[in-house]
Amino acid sequence: MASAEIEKLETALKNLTIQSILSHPTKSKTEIAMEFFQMGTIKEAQGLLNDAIDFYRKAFKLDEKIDLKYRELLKLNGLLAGQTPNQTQTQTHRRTTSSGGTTDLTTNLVNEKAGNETVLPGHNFKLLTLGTHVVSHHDTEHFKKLALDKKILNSIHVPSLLASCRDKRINKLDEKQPDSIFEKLPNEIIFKIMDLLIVKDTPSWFNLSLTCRKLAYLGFHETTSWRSLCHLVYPKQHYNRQELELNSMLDLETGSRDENRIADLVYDNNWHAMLHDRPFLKFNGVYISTVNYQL
Amino acid sequence: MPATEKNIIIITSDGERFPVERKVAEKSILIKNMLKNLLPDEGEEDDDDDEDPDSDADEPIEVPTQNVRSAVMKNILEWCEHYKEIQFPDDEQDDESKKSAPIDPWDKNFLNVDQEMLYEIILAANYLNIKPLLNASCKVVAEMIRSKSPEEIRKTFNIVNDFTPEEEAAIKRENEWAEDR
Repeated sequence: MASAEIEKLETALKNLTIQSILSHPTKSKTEIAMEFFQMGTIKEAQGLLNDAIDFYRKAFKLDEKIDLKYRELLKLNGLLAGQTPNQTQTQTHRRTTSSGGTTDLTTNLVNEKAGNETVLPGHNFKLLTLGTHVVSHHDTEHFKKLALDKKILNSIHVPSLLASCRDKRINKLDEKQPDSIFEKLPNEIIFKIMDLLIVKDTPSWFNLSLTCRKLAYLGFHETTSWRSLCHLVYPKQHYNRQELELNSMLDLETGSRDENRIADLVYDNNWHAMLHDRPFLKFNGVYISTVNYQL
Repeated sequence: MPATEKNIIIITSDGERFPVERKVAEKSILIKNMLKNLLPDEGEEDDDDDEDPDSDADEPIEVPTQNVRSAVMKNILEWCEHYKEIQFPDDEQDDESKKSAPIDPWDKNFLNVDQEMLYEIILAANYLNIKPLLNASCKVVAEMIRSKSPEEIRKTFNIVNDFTPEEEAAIKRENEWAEDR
């Protein structure tokens, strides 16, 4: 949607009164709520937070589940864009005749609307987009993830999945290329590389460990990474001395705090549990406290 | 013996012979310890004479390295030659500041090789126990991983994603809290 249209809609929305919403000739309450909500997202993207909050608040007053409905609409839009990039009418028709599923029907609907507006089946919602926004590959990936089978996802027990990856090998993505160096390097070297990543750029360690079963086992299941993280995090923390003594975290003879000793005594040498359970402050960001007043 | 004399001969797995100075060869702690037994420094008492009567200081000493091929050894020795005047601290402690220190520009340029050679250099540096070279080459690999998505890492290192989408999402969800330390 062009910015002129957005401005027009904004003025229209601002002039709406409760009375005129309830007695609107063409649009239902939820449809207007959706317009308010989307206007809120546009304002938020522009950094106009006060305006955004105003629109969001009105949207929620009209329909308290509007955020979920908006998410559904986005998801549908993303999935459709992902399935048929550069879609044309002829392609869609071919698809319709071959499978004839509901997805194709909605795809047709989208095509009729043309351009960057999506229709949620059963409702008269339009997805507002700024200018010629095209759903990027990244967005599509994201929406595919949203579409994961929740039942399967929740039935996965991650620790046993990771434990089962112990003897997995790394398969080649490209058969013509030589084996991955991570397949051939001894584990101690891979730990060393992961350790370097943890110190320099922790998310990279995380991403490397997500690439395949073998590296997930080494990165998440083995204790090495968790120990590195603990040694990185805890020495920088300042705890209340009395609490440390009470929790037997202080070496009474030397009066010093030894992370190895704490991990051994308090957390049974489980560094993962220690990092998970023992509180620490993060120093690589900003802590923001938000206070909301409910009237 | 003269300091510059190349009286250590390193023999690679494919039989090539590399004559080098002792201080170049001793960048490898493995070779250094080996030589300490065979050929004590001047000033040190030579107690091993009885056990090793053939050892003559003027004779070149052959050091076989079964695990390293000549193309890799050539690179390793170039590195040792460059750093022959520099004393690296022997301590095993590699603290955080050392880990986060940037790669030395000379090392970075030196290690600008294909992945196969980088892999062989890492293995050789590990086997020969050349810590600074091992550290630098691991850092180069770490640099190749930094700020890449899992998908980009797979492409860079020829790794197939053997997870189902659900498995990947579950592992991600389970460990997400640790990503931002």
